[in-house]
Amino acid sequence: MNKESNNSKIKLNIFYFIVFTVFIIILQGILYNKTIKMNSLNKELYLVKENSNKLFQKMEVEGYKKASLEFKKYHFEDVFYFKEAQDKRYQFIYNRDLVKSLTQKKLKESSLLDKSIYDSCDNKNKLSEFNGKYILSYINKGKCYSFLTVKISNTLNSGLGAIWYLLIGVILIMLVSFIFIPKNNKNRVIVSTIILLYNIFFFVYSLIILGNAQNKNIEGIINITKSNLIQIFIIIIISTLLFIGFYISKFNTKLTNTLIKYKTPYLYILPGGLGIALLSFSPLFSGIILSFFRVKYGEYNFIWFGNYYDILIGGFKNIANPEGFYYTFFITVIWTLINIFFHLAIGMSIALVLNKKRLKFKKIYSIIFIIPWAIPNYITALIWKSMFHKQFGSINNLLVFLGFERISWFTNTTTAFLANLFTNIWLGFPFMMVMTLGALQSIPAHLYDAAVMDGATKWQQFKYITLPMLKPALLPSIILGIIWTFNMFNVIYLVSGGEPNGSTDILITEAYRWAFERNGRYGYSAAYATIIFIVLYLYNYTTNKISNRGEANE
Amino acid sequence: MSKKYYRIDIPFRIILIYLIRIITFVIRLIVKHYKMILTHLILIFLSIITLYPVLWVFKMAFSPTQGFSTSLKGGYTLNNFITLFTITDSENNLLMIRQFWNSIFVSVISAFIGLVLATSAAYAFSRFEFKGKKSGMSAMLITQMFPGVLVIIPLYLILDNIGLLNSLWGLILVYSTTSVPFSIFMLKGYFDTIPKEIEEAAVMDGASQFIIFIKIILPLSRPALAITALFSFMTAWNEFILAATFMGKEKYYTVPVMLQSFVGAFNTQWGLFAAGSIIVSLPVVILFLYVQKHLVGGLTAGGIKG
Amino acid sequence: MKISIILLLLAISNISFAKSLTLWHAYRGKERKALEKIAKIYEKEENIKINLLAIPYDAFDKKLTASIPRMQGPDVFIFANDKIGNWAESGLIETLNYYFYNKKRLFLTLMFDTTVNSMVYKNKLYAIPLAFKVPVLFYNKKYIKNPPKTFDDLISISKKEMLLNKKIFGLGYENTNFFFHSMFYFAFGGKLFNNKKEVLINSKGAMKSIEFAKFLALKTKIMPEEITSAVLTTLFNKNKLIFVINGPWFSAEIDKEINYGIAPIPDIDVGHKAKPYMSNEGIFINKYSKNKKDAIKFIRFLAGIRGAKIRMIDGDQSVSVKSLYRNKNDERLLAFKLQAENSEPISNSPLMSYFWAPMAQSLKKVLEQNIKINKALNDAKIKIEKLLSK
Repeated sequence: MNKESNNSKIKLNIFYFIVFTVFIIILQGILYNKTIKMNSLNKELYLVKENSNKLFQKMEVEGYKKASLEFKKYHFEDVFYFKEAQDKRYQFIYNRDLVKSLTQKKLKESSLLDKSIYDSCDNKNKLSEFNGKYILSYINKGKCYSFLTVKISNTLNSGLGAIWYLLIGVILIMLVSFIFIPKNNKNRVIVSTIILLYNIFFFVYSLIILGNAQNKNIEGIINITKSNLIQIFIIIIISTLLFIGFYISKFNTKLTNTLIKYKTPYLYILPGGLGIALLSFSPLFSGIILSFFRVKYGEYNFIWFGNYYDILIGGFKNIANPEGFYYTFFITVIWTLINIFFHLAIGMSIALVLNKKRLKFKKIYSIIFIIPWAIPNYITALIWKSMFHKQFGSINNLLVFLGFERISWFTNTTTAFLANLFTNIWLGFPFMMVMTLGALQSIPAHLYDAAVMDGATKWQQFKYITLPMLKPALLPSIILGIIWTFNMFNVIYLVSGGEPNGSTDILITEAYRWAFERNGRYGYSAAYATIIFIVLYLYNYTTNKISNRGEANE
Repeated sequence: MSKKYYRIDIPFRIILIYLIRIITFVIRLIVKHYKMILTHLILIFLSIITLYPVLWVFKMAFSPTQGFSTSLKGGYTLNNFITLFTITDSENNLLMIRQFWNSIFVSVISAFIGLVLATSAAYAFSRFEFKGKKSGMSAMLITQMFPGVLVIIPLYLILDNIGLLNSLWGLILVYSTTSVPFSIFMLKGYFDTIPKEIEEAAVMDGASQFIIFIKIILPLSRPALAITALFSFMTAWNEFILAATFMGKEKYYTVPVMLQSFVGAFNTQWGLFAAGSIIVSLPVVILFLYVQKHLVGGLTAGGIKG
Repeated sequence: MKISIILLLLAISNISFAKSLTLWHAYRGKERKALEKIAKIYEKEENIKINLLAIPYDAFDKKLTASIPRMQGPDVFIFANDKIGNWAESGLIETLNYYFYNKKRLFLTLMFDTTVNSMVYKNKLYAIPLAFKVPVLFYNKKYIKNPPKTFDDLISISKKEMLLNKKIFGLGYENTNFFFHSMFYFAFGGKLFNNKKEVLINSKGAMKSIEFAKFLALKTKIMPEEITSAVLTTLFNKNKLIFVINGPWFSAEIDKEINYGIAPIPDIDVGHKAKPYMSNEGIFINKYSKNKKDAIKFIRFLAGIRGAKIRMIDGDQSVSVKSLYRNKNDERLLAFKLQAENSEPISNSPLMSYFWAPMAQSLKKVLEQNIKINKALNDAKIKIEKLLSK
């Protein structure tokens, strides 16, 4: 009976596979067609660009009407001819038929065409875009000649097509292996490996095409915009997820079986998981992919691990450089550890005190202590900064009152770090306090009663009841507290601002500077962010391992 | 002389006696409750440190100028608050009230949605054994690890594609999912502390899994739910960059966007910013007052009798 | 999803009954009111709806770069000129050569030349200047009636007053901020970079300028330490500071009781007039805008004399239109005009963003950490060259 149901499931799966594959193949065909067209057009435009001087000279000699025939071979619609007047203004003399057809078709366009051609003449030997068409202009002896291509908008980039090959390839091979390799055959492993290699190969191949498209083609033709990139990212994500899904399931019904077996928990998780997958994971993936690109002025160049090389290996050359990766990383770790310690120590002790039954005014106290969390930290961080001022800050005034000397807080790494630290402790302890207050409610009162009966001291109660009982409920807050402090941007940016000489910057402020203060170098910034991500992931992984081992020992 | 002396002496003596009595009473009180008094002293000291920087927020909020001042001298007016509440857009909508309402609407609904999503997922993670449980948990954590600096454009694309750009629901969608991973973690930790025996007893009585979840687990975890709600609310409440990027009309902005608009390229209107900060922090304090019931009530109120 | 699409369609159909233009800006307070007034007047006269949207300064660039490639951007927007290079290279903004150089070139002659030039990137005009912001000298009239003409005067006045009252300071400006240090930097002929992307910050002029800043901060003893804008505001409002060099926005931060005047920044010495940075605001056209013609028409109104007058009177802006500075009795206007004529527009090249932080750092090194000028500038040069090479 089991076998029968399994067989029917397999049949069902085959059906879905075929439908899905046909759909993908059709989609792929359309895209492939467009990609090929786009590619050939690119080549020809490239030729025109290369031979433009000759062609232009030909036009000078033979007149533009004859020459225009030659241009038509290369998908150019027509030739325009301009005479440069004084003061760099151009007089427009162009093919009247074309202009007429344009004015009849699209009145709005015609006035803009003037402008585009004007700009194109300004550009000199560069392509400019007009309404999905491209204009190539050439200036010779004060005259400007312009050519308009056929409409080539809405076609997809070759790189995008390459990624579709990847998807189709994966699915085809999966299909083949699914049909031909029997269940429980060792060959499955081999096939899976082949698919993996295939996937990697096409991933790399498509990225190379993307890189080439940027480097070799005429400016303006392949314009990989951000939206295109993100399309690519989404496709890669889909294909990778598909791949992972089928790789894990090894093309048998294991996946379906697991789904059925654990239906209830999966259903409980589904809504939240879907939201997270859509809105948290896709930005994350796009960020990781972005980190392989050099982004400059909105242009994207695939540079393999260039950014990582620069950050990790380049930073290695000068390890003590306060703006290098390793120093910043060191500061970030210390920053996180000290902060978490104080957040926990202060937050927890206040919570324990406030949790006392007989304490009066505890509601008032707890509201007072929540305030640093409630007020937007943009303003309070800056208030702390002004409190650290050398001549007029209240902290130095207090130091003078106590008989110390004034400190110039932000000219020394240690003191600047301390200033950041004080501010963040002030900002962060309320969170831990609230979390502890919540966690304390999970401790059953009868445990304490029993302890008192046994004659346990307060300290023993804390050590043997409160702490161990707090741990499971508080652990998530601590882990996340570490992650957030690791990425605490506002305090560093607003209080010390990385002073002196960038020595108090942490990784996240450095990533921010690359993205928003150094000409939108998103690729470099994304590489930083990815490194942060990997570091935190490793941290989480090792702590998991350690805690698992601890549990096993217990 | 002696009479006179006597007359003066009586009240003096009485005063002296009472004074000594009072002093001894106070000393006894102190000796008896010295721990309590010490705790109060420490708490008051900590409160002063906590409130000291906040003092300046108030000073700036009531100051007649827009400078970032660090002295308590100078005039005090309500002008900043009046200006805040009378800012209008070009269609004469009163922006402050409108945006405050937007903020409440967005934050409350996303806190609610986030809480619902998180509770069910956290329950599954806490009570069921299933494939992918561990990796699922770390996947939740992963979302918190990637710095938010670079997510604006991908999120913009997603919202644009599903047609929720320029809509408060788009913001709700984003906010409710950003707080979910933390909430799941938090709630899972709390659910883990609830003894399984309670459920097992209920199962014996024939209650279904869902009924147990609704009728037993949820009421028992009120403190954690309250905190998680507060946290989700705060995530949505203070966010401005996504709200400013995704909303195409000022009447759809939230209050933090207005606050941030007082920060200019070269200077900041600190008076308005501080006044706005106070307004922004009020609902949080009020919400905390409510949440507090479940937290500071002491062990008897929310404690689980295992 | 379907519902949202339907709602979106409804929303679009609602707007489309008349012509409309969308304008994004980061104005607030008076400037914002002035802009709204101009939009109302224009709406009535031209029967076109102007949709204004104020965006926080911090979110502006992010919102633009997210929305313009997705065709969700505005038709026109107002912003400072420093991002032009980036936006132009990324293809977000429209070139205006055709509209303003091809025909009717006269329009641009209305404005100060420096303000127009600041909007030109690689020989192309990308925006029409609206207003400029340039640092000037604020002086407390309690201590001095007529503003000093040279820094020597300023120093001697400060020293005299500081002898009488030990709690006050003579001069305050944010000396570790390159935006303000620029007044000396360009006065001594300092340069940042040339067309070949060579970094020129360790020139003699640059060193002289930092030497002068060091002289002011450490030798004359007329300045407070670690100056931030908060310090300037607090001290000036307590009558504890005689001179402040700051941008026009400083007026809004001064208490009503303080009697102050505004003048151009004094000369450094003979032959060296202070030449501070000038930040320019312009109005841009989105490259993908669908009604560029209407946009150009509106820009002519907003940037032209009528619009500028409203912006100047209602919005307190120092507008770019020359002819509005004719009233010679207005001390404030005169100061801004004189300073505008003697100023350096902030470069709109993308390279510029690599210079701010290293320049500020080298200033801090010299003024606060006792490091030699030569070394500080060389360090900064190496750092900038590294950034440029990446």
